[in-house]
Amino acid sequence: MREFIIVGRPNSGKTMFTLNFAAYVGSKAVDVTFRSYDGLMTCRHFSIEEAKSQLCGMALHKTRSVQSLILKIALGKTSVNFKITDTCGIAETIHNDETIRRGMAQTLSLLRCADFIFHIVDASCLSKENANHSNSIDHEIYNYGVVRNCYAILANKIDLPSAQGNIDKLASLFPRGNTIPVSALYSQGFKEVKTCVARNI
Amino acid sequence: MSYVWPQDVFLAIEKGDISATQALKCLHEMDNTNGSSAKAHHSQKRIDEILHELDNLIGLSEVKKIVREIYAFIEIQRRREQEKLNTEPLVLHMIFKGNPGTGKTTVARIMSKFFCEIGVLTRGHLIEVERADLVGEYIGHTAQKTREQLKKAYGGILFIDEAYSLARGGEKDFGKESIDVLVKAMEDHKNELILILAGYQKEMEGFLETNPGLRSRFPIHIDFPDYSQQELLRIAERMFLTRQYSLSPDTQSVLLKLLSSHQNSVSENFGNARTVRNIIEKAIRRQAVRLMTKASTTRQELMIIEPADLLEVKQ
Repeated sequence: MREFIIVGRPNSGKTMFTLNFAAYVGSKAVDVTFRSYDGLMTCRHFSIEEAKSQLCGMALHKTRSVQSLILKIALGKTSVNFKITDTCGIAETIHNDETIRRGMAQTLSLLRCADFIFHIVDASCLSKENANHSNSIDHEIYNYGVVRNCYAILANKIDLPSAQGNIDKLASLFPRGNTIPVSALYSQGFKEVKTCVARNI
Repeated sequence: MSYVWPQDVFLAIEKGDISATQALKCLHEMDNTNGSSAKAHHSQKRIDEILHELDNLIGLSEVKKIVREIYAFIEIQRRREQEKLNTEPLVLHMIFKGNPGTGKTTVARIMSKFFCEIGVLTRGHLIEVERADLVGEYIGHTAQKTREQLKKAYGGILFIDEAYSLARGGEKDFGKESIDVLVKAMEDHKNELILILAGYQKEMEGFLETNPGLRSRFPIHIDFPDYSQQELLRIAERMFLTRQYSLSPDTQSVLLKLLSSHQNSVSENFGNARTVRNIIEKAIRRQAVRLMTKASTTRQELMIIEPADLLEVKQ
């Protein structure tokens, strides 16, 4: 089973994207497997709405463990299962909370063994951190991802007015990554993501 | 600040030594220098370490020679491959023959590590089984059980201790069925599996006679000869040294006498290195009892084994 991993900064919409994408490919309810850094596994059954209200939030670092879902996608006449894994967000700074640092380490270790990387970038607040210095975490993920050859950038939050002009800028910043504009909240642009998944399964 | 393994990088993040940005940079370098000099150097170091561990074993010159042969062969096969010459996979099934306590299991463990490091085995684990793990309870069960063990061992070594017991039960014993399955698997999966049969010299000879195809299917036969008295003494010294005890010259001669009396009196079931270990552990206990009565002891006293400690070790 192919594993698709979702990485990005904290609060860029990774969990929201994961859950709405699950709904988009036809799941009404999902079994979310949580795996914490010390190897503890728990599995919970959610309806999509419940999951969104419990797992997503406005605060930074809402997700602290690895959350995997198994989804089904129709491919020709058969349907194929794949695993989509939502991770703890990673940032440039060294966080003072140990659980978050461990979550970041877990994200990076998964990044190494995943079959495909979806890198979520918040297109609405691109200007400050990303454009200026090329030392940002997004650049590092990009550099790491393009050599792996299984990498796509999802420019999230395009429903916000501040994001409109930023998509071209993003494409020029990350020229070798395949940039797909999406809105995780309103499920826009998911068709392209689905074809991308189908191609790489 | 440089990290060799990805695991070190993850640990550093957890501790808060480096940020995720730096960590990704490290990982990026690590994954893109794949197979380059750094990694080759590292595996070479590990091979040297394992060979050193093997050389540290006392005696066993034949084993050391065979391991070196295989190492050289694999290296040359690699070079031949570069020149686009034909390369044949090597069949490495082995038979270990020797008395109890001559190091058969120890050698098998080192070999599994070694073969993994030089790339003969993919996983390099050692599965140790005996008759009870292979033979079933009713007709047809044995094949199933044996196949299960074999499946576990693919990519590593299957080490069957006291292998002669598979052929001991007579005509109707299920052990024969197990041997048949093993023989088939070692032909079909000769690239994924190394099968090692171990047992006592005399019994193993009898075992090889039972199935005419067996002997030729094992290209490597290694005899584990009994240790000579000098070798046993060196083993004893090594064991004392690792436990941080030392022997006085008097004690050495007493130990030598003790070993020879053991070897003569119970020639059949003499446990070789294992007996030595038992003697040593007993002597250490005697020394402890002797020192208990003293109110204070010096560092030197705590380390030295007196002849008196050994003299009381008599079974």
